[in-house]
Amino acid sequence: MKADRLFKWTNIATIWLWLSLFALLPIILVLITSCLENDPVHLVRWQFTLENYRALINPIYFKVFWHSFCIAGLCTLICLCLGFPFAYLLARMQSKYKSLLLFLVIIPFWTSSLIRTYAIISILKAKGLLNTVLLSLGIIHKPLSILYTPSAVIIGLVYSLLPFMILPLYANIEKLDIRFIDAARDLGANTITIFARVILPLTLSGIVGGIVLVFLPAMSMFYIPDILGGAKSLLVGNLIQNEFLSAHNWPLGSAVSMVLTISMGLLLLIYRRADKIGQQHESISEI
Amino acid sequence: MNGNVLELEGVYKKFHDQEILKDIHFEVKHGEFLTLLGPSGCGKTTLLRLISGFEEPDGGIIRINGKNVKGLPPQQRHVNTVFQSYALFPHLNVFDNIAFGLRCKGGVTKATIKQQVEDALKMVKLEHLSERKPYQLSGGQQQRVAIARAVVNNPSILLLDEPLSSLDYRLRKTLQLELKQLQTQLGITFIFVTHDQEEALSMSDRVVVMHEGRIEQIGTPREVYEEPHSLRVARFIGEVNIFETQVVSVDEHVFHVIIEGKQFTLKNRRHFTPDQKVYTLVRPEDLEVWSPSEVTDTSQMFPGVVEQVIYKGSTVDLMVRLESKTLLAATQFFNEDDEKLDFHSGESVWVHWIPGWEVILPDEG
Repeated sequence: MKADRLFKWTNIATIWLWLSLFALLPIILVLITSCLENDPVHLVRWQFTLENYRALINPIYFKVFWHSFCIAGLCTLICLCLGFPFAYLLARMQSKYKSLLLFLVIIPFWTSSLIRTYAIISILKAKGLLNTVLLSLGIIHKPLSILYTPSAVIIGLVYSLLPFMILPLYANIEKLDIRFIDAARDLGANTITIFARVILPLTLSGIVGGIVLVFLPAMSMFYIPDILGGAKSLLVGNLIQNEFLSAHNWPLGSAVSMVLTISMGLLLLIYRRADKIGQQHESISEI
Repeated sequence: MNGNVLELEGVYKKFHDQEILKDIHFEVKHGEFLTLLGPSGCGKTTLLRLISGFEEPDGGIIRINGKNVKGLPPQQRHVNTVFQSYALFPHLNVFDNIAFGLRCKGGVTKATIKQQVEDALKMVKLEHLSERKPYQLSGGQQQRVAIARAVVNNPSILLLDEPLSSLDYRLRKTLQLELKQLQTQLGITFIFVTHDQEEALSMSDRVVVMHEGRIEQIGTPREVYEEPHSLRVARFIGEVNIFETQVVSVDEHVFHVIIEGKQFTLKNRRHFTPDQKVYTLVRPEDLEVWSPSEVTDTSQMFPGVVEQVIYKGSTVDLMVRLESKTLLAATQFFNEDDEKLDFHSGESVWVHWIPGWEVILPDEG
């Protein structure tokens, strides 16, 4: 009995300690920094201010946020459209190659994403792989200029983030009981109805999970716009990077980070609400 | 119309070169309660899926209402299914679950849908729960919703795939009765799949006993229990004592056999020949057990020793070991004119059955 309680409290204490140290503390540090005054010499001056947040109420920042939002949104949408059919087929597959295919989705993580992003340059550049192939097939007559455009950024983001869409979708669709689809067919539903009224609502938590995992990194992966978009394409991530590394304005960079964190929090809130529906679904399939 | 809602002719199905169903042949009348009974893996669920249209047979003909349904998808067969563990849509409430089929039809007005769903809810006595989500319902309530969801589409045949198997014993008993009442009230043909022989006997008009993809016997519950066509059916449905029997001589109406070293004269109902290997089957409730003091003529009785006494309330089950080491199960009923049912293990007894209540079957090789 006593040992049980000790075990329980040790567990809880460890989890709390871990979370406080690695999650709560960094956020508090960023929050504090964002409320301090900038000092070029000592990084910060210990003086409370909301000036950094006020500075963000500026059309330029709105523009960057809006631009990031659109790029990330488009990237997420493309990931969803590409990822859903793939995850669905993979989850429904009755093959011995299923786990191998899932493994292949994860394999890119073994190479640094920075290196993979540089590799995309060699595909997209004027005399790169893509243009060479398209030219030799006669599909285009002069090279496409994709590199250093928003398109290149989106291609890079989609490529890097697609697995983060596929994995939660796969996990979710695999749990989907095939009998719900049978039942819908039995009741006279056609393919579109089955998708819209059975598959979609029942995999919603996976979809939201995928969106959260893709959308937020897409807003903040600064190296992809840096490498593929030239200096033209600015994301929130680049903004934070610039404030910290170029402008040496840590409080302002922290304020931008906080805004991003809060938007992440809001998205996770949405995710949790969708997940509740998913959990109800699970409790049924156990019966 | 010949009164058959469903006809199967030589239906055959295989998966990956493995024969799942062979030579399936039967008819189902309008309003009949038919049960497909067999151990798991005997192909009964596959047969159900062939009827509902989720699978296509590799041979043979399936007719629903006289029409060959080859190639017709499930939604065009006038057949609905109550799935194993119901497959109620977890994201929809009870009302929307039941309305699902009607909404898929198209051209049905909202008012009609509301009316029909409410009627269906009333039929299964769940009017008050229409706003609930499936996970907020008990197992029995979920089953009723599943039935309402299917019958609201007014199918010619309702297929039920082991709908009671996930429920506990007591609830299952209640729902068996309810289901039977509902079927009588609706007049819809039910095809019910189960591996529970008790369930099959108590609910069905007719039982189709299946084994390894074949039909072993089709008959009323009474027929398959009292007149099994094969040892397999006899063994699967209820308990049975099986005696190896030697045929000595055969007359036109009777034949003489030796069972456990004693000579018997039995009615020749199946035309056996001398020296044929046959088995005599006697149900436990057809065996009588007597104390030595109660009997005088033991020429048609077997001596044995009580090995186990299992008290079951309304009956006492005895396990009796004969001298030949054969173990018999005998069920004794309490009744007013039987004063002594007080056997205990180790007691010597005489075992006997009422002639004519036995079933004699040839060896199946």
